[in-house]
Amino acid sequence: MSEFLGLCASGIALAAVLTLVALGLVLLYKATNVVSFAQGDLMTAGAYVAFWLTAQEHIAIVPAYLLTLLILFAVGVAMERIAYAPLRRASPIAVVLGTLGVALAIRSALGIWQGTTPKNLSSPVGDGSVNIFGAAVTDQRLLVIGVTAVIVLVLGYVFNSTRYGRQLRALAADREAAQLMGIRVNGLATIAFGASAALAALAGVLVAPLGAIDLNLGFNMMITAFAVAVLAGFGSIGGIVVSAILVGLVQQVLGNYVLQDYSDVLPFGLMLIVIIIRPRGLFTAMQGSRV
Amino acid sequence: MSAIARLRTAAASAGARPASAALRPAPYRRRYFTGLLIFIAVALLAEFLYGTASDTQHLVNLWLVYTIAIVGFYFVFGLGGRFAFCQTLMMAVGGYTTAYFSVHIGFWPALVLGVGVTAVLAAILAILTIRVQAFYFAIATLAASQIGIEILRNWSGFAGANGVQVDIDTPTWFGTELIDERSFFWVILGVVVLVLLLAILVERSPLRRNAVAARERELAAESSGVHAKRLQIGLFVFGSALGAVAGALLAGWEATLSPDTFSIDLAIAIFVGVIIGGVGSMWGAVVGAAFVVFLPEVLTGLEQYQTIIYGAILLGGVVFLPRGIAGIGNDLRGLVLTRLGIGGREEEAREADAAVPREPEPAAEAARETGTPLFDPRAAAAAEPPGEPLLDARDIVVQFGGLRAVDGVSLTVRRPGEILGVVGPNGSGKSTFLNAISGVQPFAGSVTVRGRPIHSGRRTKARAAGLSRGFQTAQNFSDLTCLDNVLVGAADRSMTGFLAAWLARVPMWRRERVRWREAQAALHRVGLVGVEDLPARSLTYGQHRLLELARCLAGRPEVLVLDEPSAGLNDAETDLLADLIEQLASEGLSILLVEHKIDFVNRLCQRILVIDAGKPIAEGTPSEVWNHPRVAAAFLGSAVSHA
Repeated sequence: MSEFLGLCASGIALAAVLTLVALGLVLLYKATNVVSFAQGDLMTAGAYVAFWLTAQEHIAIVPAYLLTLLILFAVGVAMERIAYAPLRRASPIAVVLGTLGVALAIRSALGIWQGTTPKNLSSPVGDGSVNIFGAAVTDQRLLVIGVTAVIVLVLGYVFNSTRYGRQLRALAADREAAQLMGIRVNGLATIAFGASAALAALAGVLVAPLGAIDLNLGFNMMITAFAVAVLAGFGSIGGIVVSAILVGLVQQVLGNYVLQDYSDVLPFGLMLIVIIIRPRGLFTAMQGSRV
Repeated sequence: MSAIARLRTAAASAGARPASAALRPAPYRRRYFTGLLIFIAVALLAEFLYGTASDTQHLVNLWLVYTIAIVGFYFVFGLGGRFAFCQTLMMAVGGYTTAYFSVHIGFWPALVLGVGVTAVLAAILAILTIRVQAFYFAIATLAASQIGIEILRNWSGFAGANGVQVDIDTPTWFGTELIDERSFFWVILGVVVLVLLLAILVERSPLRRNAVAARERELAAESSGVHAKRLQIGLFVFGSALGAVAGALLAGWEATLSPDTFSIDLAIAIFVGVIIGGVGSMWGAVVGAAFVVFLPEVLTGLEQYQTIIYGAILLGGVVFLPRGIAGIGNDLRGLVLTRLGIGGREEEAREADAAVPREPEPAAEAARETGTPLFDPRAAAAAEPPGEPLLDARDIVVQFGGLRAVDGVSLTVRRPGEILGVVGPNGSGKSTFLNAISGVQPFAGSVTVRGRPIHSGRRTKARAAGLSRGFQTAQNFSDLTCLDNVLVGAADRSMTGFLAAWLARVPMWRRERVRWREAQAALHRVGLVGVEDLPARSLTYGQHRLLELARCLAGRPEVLVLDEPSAGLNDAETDLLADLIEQLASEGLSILLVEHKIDFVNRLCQRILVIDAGKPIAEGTPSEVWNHPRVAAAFLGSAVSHA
């Protein structure tokens, strides 16, 4: 039983990280209609920058983390300028390929900068753990879950109750109409790219102490986060959270008891099934499309 | 107009039977095998000048193998327009299957088996996922790849411990064991030439234009009769099978296979190969293969920059060179030709200008000029027993969530040559209604054309039933020539598949000649002459309308559905269009016309149906409906009655 609870806890911690990555993906998608293949490498970059600031520059943890988010926000904005602004009129496939190019560039730049040996980022809350019904849950996992919960609440508020949120929803509902109503689409795109990169960086910073930092840290996580976003139909925040928990539990619990060899690809299987059977996701109503 | 084009037009209008060369669409005109011969020459030069040591020989062989995989991917991504991430999986399946069976049945039979298994797998994957678009298709295939590679890694009975297969039969060629690089070179070169031959035959066939049309505008292509999804599944399977050939050759030649070979890095190299070569031509893929194989050699000592260069190429490629190196080649060629005064871009533009103001020709005249007895709806109508209405739409309902955009609209066209107008305020559901009866939009109710049903949401069915449609903004295929644009809508759709391209070229060729003449006639019919070979993107707005109309006519419809055809045209163009529509109707074509310009409707239509808020509110002659109180209220608002 305690093993099961432990697996559930790591499943939910994984779900928390996936939620952050998927939120970044969906936010960007809503604002710009772009699904970015760079999200994973931005996450890796976040982990490396945090490692650089804390372990190499010896900056205190909280300012270092804040600085990391700021730097990655700037990287996101730069990415919008380089890889999205020139491609506004190009086909969606060209834009996606462009983000893949950015992903590769970021990854190899990180490799040139920090080398290929894995790095370890120490946890800001130490290596302790809490006993919950006999299952030891590390403090870092609790931190991941807690921070994600806060972010989800904040984003929920921004999305539902602020001007930016309303504009974003208008954009997602009907791009052309929103543009005609005077929403500054370009400004929103810039912010969305920045915020989405910062969310990826936060995920990287939070997940890094649970393992080691290497160049593939984010890319693999991103594909799993695609699964979350697809399950949620690139839709609501609630849908993302539920999908992330589903994916996290499937991977940790099912992957541990039944299909040990395939635990890493279980989310992909789930995603493939959803794309085949219900491409609009589990939580979105089927809608007619207009021509 | 170029001298050649002028000659051609002169010959045509003199009533001479046009030379078939002049009627050939561009893909058939150039020599078939020049590219292949150049490729063989380059490969031989590479092998005998560069491949003098075993490591450079190895690279040349690798180039040839990658060429097969990347040409395969060109058919999936470049021509099919499908953003797939699974070419590496297909290579792996082909490679491992070949490896496993090679010890039992020998290498070459195992290769055939491996390609077959891969093709079946690719077909299943494509059938399951083809309906999802762009990005979803990419991650579906990415997920499938990750799962597939993981299975190979774990299935030791089939793929070896941890997926490392070393137990591979050495291929033999007529009794000689192929062990050294040189002997492999000859075998791989032979396979590559065979593969390129198959690829060229597909490129020079009607399949290509249909695929380009489906890639560019799926909706318009399907409405013109192209089975877009079926075609893309075919291209996906063909391209994947080529991937399997590459994987199998890799297995036999390297004598060992590991899942790490088929990593995401190889997938990205394949993307880079296609992008750098340009998605416009299979020869781009050959160039791209050379690039990804030889780049690491050029970068000796700087290997760490390889990925960053790949990234820059993907990004720079889509930003600066959407048409790739092959595209630059074409541009340069165009530039040189323009300098020499024989064709090229500027020439195209001038030709397009010169072609504009021309009266549409009646069917008889167009038929005489192009030497083709044109489509004659009247003949078709006379052949059919009377009684069955031409177009019969009953109780059409279209629902968007909680909104009934079309709420019980019925209409009937009985008489050949009748023009029925459908009008209504903005947002009244006219376009949605058109989309429903032309099979674009799922609906409830029934639609028949002469008793032949059009099923809800089945686009190609509508055209097959005899209904062609134009779109609110003209939907042409800008990467195709004008003649190819019209050919996409051809009524006769036989001999346009893979098998015809490979095995039945002579019958295919014959069908194509008939289709070319009809397409030519359709262009004359709408008054577009001298533009056959120009890419559709060089046309003016008004010409786009006419080109779309020509494509509709090429389908020999009995009912033509037009959605605001005069939108965006100037007065002169509108008059020309009205003349054309009247002529078409007088020849027996029934037309359903949705329009905003009231004068245009009143001039052309004998009968008008008015829709408001998805419901029919009046039907009758123009004077009847315009005097109807509900129509006035719908168009001007009920406030008018108080004024």
